[in-house]
Amino acid sequence: MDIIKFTSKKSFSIGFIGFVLVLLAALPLYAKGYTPILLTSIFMYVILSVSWTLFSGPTGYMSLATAAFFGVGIYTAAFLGKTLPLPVFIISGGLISSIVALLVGALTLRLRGIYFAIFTFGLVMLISNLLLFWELHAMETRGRFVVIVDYNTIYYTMLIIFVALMLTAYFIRRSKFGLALQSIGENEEAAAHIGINVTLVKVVNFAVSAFFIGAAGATIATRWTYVDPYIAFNPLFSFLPVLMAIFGGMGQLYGPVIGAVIFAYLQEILITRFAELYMLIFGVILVFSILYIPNGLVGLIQKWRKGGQAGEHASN
Amino acid sequence: MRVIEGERVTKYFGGLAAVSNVDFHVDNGEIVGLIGPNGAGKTTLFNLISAAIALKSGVIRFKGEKISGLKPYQICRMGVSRTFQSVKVFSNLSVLQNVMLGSLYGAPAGMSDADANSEATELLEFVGLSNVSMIPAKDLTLANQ
Ligand SMILES: Nc1ncnc2c1ncn2[C@@H]1O[C@H](COP(=O)(O)OP(=O)(O)OP(=O)(O)O)[C@@H](O)[C@H]1O
Ligand SMILES: [Mg+2]
Repeated sequence: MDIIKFTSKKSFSIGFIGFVLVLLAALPLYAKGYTPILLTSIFMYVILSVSWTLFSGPTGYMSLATAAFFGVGIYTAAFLGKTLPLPVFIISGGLISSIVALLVGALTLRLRGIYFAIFTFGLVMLISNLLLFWELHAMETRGRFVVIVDYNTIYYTMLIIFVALMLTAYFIRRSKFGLALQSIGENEEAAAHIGINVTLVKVVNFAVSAFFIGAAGATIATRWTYVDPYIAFNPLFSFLPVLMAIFGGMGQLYGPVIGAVIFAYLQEILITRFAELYMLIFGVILVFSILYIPNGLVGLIQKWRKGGQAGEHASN
Repeated sequence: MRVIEGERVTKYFGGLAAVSNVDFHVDNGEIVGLIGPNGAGKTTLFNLISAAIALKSGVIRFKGEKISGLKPYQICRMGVSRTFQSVKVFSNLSVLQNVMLGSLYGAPAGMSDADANSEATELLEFVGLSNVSMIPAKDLTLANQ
């Protein structure tokens, strides 16, 4: 009985996801102009938020390096976009971000808590200023133009990265690798003592997460057409994914997706209607959601499904 | 045969010699207890054996092989396991997952998910915790943790 219920629920989910994917894939056929552009930017935020959660969710390491990986992807597109075909420079953007993550991770993943967060944020500043120095002194430029790509191609590229990321995140969550990640977040010392190579697990996961962030950066760069280090390494891209993930809830895979979709859409509306106020409204929503829905929208949904029977846990 | 032995094992915390020039060995089949007043350095010695902390000097061997200098996960996979003075469970993972992690990662060869699952299930049966295998470990009583 239970099994039947379970499988029918599962095939319903798969059917629903398939349906949404077909709708999204066919979108440029029935919606022209603004809609694919809006959805591209929503996908971008979803990718950033899910990638951030992929690493920081289970491990509990608060990474603020998202803007660094994103910027590395953007600059990769700026450098390689004019000479290499699109898939090659997008994948390069992801790979170079991964390599940066491997190096940085190996150096810094021994830092815990606030120190790790600050170091990763420092990385954003460091790369940004190095590039700026190089632009100004070696190239005598300020920024650079990126190859222009039509918006449907950008849309499909973002969609593909999004689907690849969701599949990766889904399989990691279900794998023994995912279980190891969770155990590290719960108690790293105990994890190391039951045979988990904690450094390797963390660094590999960090690099996987950076890959998708870098690929998204390389893709969106083609829409921005002109980038400089301040645009490419905007610190907001370190913070927004965190806020979106917290708002959506990190307990489930779809949490950061919902959070990012709502936030990105809100941003789009607010920025056009209340250009000066939008950050303020953003902030207010955030404060309230952290105060009143600490487990995010996912937490709310689960509570509502269980009819409030979820037990409370006091620490002992 | 010596299963585990240490020679001149030393660890300082700042100027404090928590473990100083300790020689010890445990032979095959032996059950050995380590006693001493609070702060004598018992936990520190266990931390040195499992490499939770690095020793300053001396050497520790397991079945004749040097293990001092290895990482905790390597020592664990060689067959040295430990518990902690304060209980450390993975609070938000299920009881079954807690036990499975050991089967998945603790052995040198590693195990398939299905094998780890059945081994963990058997072990929980053995200790009488099968009925709570799906609840988060933090909801167990302290003794059951
Ligand atoms: N991480 C640490 N940093 C600094 N000093 C430490 C550290 N760990 C232990 N010590 C000190 O080393 C000495 C030995 O401590 P240890 O915990 O090994 O004692 P113990 O024999 O396990 O005591 P108990 O019976 O209370 O468990 C103590 O003086 C303790 O304060
Ligand atoms: Mg002790």
